Amino acid sequence: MSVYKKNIDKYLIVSFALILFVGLIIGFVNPFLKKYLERNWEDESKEFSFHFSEKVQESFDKKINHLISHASYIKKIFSTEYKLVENNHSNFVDKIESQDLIIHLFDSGNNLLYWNENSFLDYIDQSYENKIGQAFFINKKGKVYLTFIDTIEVINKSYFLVSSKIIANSINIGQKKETMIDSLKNNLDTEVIFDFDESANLIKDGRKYSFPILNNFKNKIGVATINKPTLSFAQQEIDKKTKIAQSILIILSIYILFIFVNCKINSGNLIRWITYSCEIILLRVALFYFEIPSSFWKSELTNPVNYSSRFGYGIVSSPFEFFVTAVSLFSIVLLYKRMIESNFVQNLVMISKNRYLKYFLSVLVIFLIMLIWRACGASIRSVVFDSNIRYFKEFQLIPEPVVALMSLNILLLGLLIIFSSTILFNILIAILKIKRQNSFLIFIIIQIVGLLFDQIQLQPQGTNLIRFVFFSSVYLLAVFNQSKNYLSIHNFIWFAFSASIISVSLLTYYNSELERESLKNTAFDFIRIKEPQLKFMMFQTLQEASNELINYEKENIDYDFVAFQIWEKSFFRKEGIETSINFLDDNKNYLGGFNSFSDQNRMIDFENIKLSNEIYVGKYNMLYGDNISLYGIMPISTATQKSYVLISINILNSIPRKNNFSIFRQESNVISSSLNFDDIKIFVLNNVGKIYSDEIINLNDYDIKKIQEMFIKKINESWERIELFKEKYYAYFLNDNLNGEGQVICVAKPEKHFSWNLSDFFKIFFIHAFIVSIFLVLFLLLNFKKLFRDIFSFKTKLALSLFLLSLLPMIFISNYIRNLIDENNQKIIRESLKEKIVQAKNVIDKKLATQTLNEKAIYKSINDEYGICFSIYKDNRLQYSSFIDLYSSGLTSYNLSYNAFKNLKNNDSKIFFARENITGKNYNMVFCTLINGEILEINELTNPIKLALSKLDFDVFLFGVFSLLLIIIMIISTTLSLQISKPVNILTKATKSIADGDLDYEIHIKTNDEFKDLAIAFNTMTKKLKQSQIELAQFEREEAWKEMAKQVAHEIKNPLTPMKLSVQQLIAAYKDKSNKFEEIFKKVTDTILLQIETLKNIASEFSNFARMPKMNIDKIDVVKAINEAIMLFVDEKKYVNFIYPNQNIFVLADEDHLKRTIINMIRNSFQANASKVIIELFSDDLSAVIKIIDNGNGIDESILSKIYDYNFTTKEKGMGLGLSMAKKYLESLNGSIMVESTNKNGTTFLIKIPLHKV
Amino acid sequence: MNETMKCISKYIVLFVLLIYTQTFLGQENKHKEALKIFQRIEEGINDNSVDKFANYFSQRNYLSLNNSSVGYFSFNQSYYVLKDYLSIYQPISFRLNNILTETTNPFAAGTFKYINKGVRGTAIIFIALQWSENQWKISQITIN
Repeated sequence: MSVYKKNIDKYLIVSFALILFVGLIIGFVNPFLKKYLERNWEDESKEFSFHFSEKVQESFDKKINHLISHASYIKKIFSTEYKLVENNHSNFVDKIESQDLIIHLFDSGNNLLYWNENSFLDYIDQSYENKIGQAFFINKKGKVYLTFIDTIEVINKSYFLVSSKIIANSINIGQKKETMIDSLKNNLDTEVIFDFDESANLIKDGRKYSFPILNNFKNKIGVATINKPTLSFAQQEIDKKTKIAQSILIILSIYILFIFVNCKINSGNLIRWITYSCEIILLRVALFYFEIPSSFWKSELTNPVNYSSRFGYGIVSSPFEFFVTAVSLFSIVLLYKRMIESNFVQNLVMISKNRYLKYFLSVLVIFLIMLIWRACGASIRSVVFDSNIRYFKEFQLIPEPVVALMSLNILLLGLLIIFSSTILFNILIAILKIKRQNSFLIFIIIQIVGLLFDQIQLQPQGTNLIRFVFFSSVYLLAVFNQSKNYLSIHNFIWFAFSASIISVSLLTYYNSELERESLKNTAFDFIRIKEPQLKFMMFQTLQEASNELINYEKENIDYDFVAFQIWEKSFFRKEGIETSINFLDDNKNYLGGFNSFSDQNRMIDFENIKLSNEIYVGKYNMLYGDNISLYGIMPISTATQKSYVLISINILNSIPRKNNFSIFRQESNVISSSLNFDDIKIFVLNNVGKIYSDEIINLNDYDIKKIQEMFIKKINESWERIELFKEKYYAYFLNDNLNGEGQVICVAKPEKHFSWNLSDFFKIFFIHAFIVSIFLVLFLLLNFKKLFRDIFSFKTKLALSLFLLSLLPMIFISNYIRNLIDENNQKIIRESLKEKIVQAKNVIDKKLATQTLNEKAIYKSINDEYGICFSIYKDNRLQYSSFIDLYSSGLTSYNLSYNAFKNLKNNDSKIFFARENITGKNYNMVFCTLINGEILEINELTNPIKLALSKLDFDVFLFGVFSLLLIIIMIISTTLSLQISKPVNILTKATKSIADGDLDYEIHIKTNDEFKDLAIAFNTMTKKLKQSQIELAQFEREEAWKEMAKQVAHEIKNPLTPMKLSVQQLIAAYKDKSNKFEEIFKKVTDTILLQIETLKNIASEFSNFARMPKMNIDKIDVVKAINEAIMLFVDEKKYVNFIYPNQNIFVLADEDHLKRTIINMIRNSFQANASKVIIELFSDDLSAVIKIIDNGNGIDESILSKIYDYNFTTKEKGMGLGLSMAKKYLESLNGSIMVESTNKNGTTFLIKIPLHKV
Repeated sequence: MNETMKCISKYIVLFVLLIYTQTFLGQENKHKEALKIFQRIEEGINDNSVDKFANYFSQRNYLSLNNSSVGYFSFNQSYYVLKDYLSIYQPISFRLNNILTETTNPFAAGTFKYINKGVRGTAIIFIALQWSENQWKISQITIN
């Protein structure tokens, strides 16, 4: 084990122990903490209350200071500008920056001179005058304003500046902004009640803590009261936090344990992948079991309303849980994909030698693919049906976080399905031993099986087209996507977009199904609540109202607003039931009220109502139509008078009114429906054939007959195709027996709206494209080194240029069209509003001039007659409105728009357009002056204008098409740049090969352009270079031999001379029979032996000189070396497949030699007409084994023994060095090379190199 | 002939009585079944255990809760939406004090006392049933 591994183990063990220790400590500390809290609870509670009161006062101080500083700023501007414009205040107001404040300016005569949006005052109340210079609260129509009044004195004139800020808003309708009080309440773990009244008293209750809210003069302006936190609650909170902390620590310790286990695994790949998968599953289950993060993180992302399924015991019970599960599963699938690509396929090839097993496995795999397809459909169906997110109906260009997360989940789901299916398809190809190019038959079989599979199911997955696209994507991705790096950008883009297309198509399909279901729900909504329930709700609403009204007894009641408040809190609002709430005095005079609908004819006739001294609920036949009203009446007593609250609702033929203000309608229960309320037709048909509807419905005889059959045959429900307004509708009929009288409720939607909608498809596809782009950017940033290198490559520059050249005109054109459509839409809206205001003005002016009725009666008659909703202002203040409830409920200001007032002043003929805020949303408005000097207003909210193509519709279409075009442009520009840069790349590779000594490399370019000439020239150059190299080598060899011969001769001569002389001396001594013969003999033999040794050394020296070049032996990774060697063949369109284990194999060798050997072997194979070469690398106990398998011509048996001989070759231009050198090299490493098998179908060489072992 | 007619008449009367009794008993059983479901819901909410009545959810349930969750929810969603609601508004007690089963759409309402952020609160829970696939299913739960 290496030192590094030992260190990791040490760190892991220490971390694991530390986490367990911390967990234990937390467990031990918990009871002590609770005990400590119990002992010091009084102090803690006081501290908490004091801290909170400080926090609240600090928030108010901040707001008050803002008001004061803003008032000073306005005073300064006013003083400067006023002098310049001489008594004309109108120019100065343009310079006021409201900074989100509501500004009113009054003169000394209490006349309103200036006001901005959301203004709520038309005069300064006397009670405010003694509060000048200090902040105080104003309560108006459910809103609380923190207000500061200051005086401005300029040139002997006084003005009153009133600056206000909304700090609390009890109205929960419209686009409500979070107020200061909302944020204070949300950030507190207990309930807090504010009384914004300076006369409010501090509450004396031991369980509560009450404190005053002070203004800038340190005067009390209100009271805040909190429920003191209880000890048991505080202790529960400690337990909860302890549990969360311990759970997180346990998860961490499990994670560390897994890392430790992973370091210890030495087994094969299969065991390793199974272990990894189990770990991922266990980690996911642990997160689920300990409820992390749902136990401490409450948001829209963890809200089950947005998505929840009981699948896997609730492992996907919220959008975030779904995301975590999808990521876990996706990780497992990625792991298995890698495992299968490394060596699993080989095992399958072995298994598939058994015919029966092969067919059994094939059927099993096809069945698994079908199950995955079914899982895909079922999951997307769940995404649509188990969620309240309406992906297509409530689409926003910048999606809400929860929609973005669910869209990501859908994409992940698609990726999961596509990945799994592709893996299985590859397994199928491997089992059946079919060439990828010939796998079309499998594709056909799968398509047929898929069709049959869907036919036999009760609920098929999507349409035939979606299934066809799904299996086609799987086939194309499996067969044509052979990139080794399965996490490459290329792979990611293809898989992601295939996944997106499939998942979004299924999403639109199931959404259509949900819309059908919603037709049924909408119809059921009419009969869901029957008379007994309504009576109960009526009674309940009146009882709650009586509790509410106790608070109003001491004041002057704003009856309109109180009625609105009763409605807002009632069951009727929740149920979307049209309600009228009215206040009457003892003489049945109308005091005020609120209607959640605009049809005045539907209001109850007060004269026929019997007043009661207790709560009474009864029925009443309406004057208009066949409507029956259920009403409830309750007496209330105020300080000044006795009055009654009367609530009435329609119980028969209560059709939702489409001309209702959308602001009230959104509270209706259709909010959760996937239907667009404006698209559908709703009507009720009774058993005598009478149709009740909000609009004129003409049914043909055939359709009426169909409905009447429902009465006759007592059919409960029916789905029909009917014709309405010359258009085909898909309709749901529900037969309901109400009070013994039959009625059929029909909800219908145009049939064409159910069809696959490109615009809907793009809504989610666009979000997916955006998510994929984010991942791509992250991916590129993570690989920034490669990116930096690639970005400057010729290919990338070319692709980018083509991409930008196509993209830029597209951006300009689409932006131009977008603006054009927006302008056109605004023009249409304004023209339409202008048309309406001109019509209304003409009629009103005419009637005012000719009729003697009072003005309000004239306005009402015009509203009823022409159906135009409008408002009339007199002296900046609302005089009449067709939608008075919008004002009386406090949703919009009674004051006229200041801009309209300024522009229409002294200009009778002018029509003024404005775009102003109503209930948090901007609407177009048009104003003009009437003959009597009053100002007429018509707006878009109450006179909705239907546009053929809204800006949002166009944006969806534009961005959707844009995403698709981007992909197409990317594909085209990449393909084109590849085409253009391909010859350059081929030349680069060829040059590298030549530089590496591979002079057999030839370029093949099929095109007939300049590159072909270049390729021919290059090949000729290579051939000549090779020829020259051979000649040079030959020459050099000859020269070397000559030189060597000279040297050898020279070197040999040197010892030979003394040897010769010695021998001659010995002969002479022998002949002379010298006495010193023995001495001479010894001397001579010594000399000869010495010279012989010299000769031996010379021989050794020459022998060394003739040896191979010196090798650079080192520890090398065979996987890496072979991978680098085969890279040379990538662009030669030669099929070289390298199968290697998922671990490094180290040997002691010269890397360059090894690579050269592998290149030579592959080159030999291709020269022997092989079309593919498979290199398999594995290791036995002693050696790294490299198998080189080709499908070439094979080696003739007669020459098999000579293939390693020096200078032996069968090639025309070969030198006979490759195999002899390879053998020599491998033997020098104590390795071997041998022919394992050879025949006409190919040859298999087996190379063994001893493993490097530590 | 008369005897035969009398005999036939007796059988007819008996048969009609039998049918009437069956229908009446069937209706009675239906009412009892509805009452049983209301009791299960009451028990489930009191024990903070949606599992006790989750089987009575229909495929599309109308839920309107006072934490802004309003609309039609699937069987799966209804379970988790209510579970999530009861984890925030922890029940102290729930008692159905208005039960009407002898109607085509039985309903019940009661006072729900809960604790949220350590503070006690009350709400009215309204539950309605509908006859579907030969059994009563929850069609609506409104908490106001």
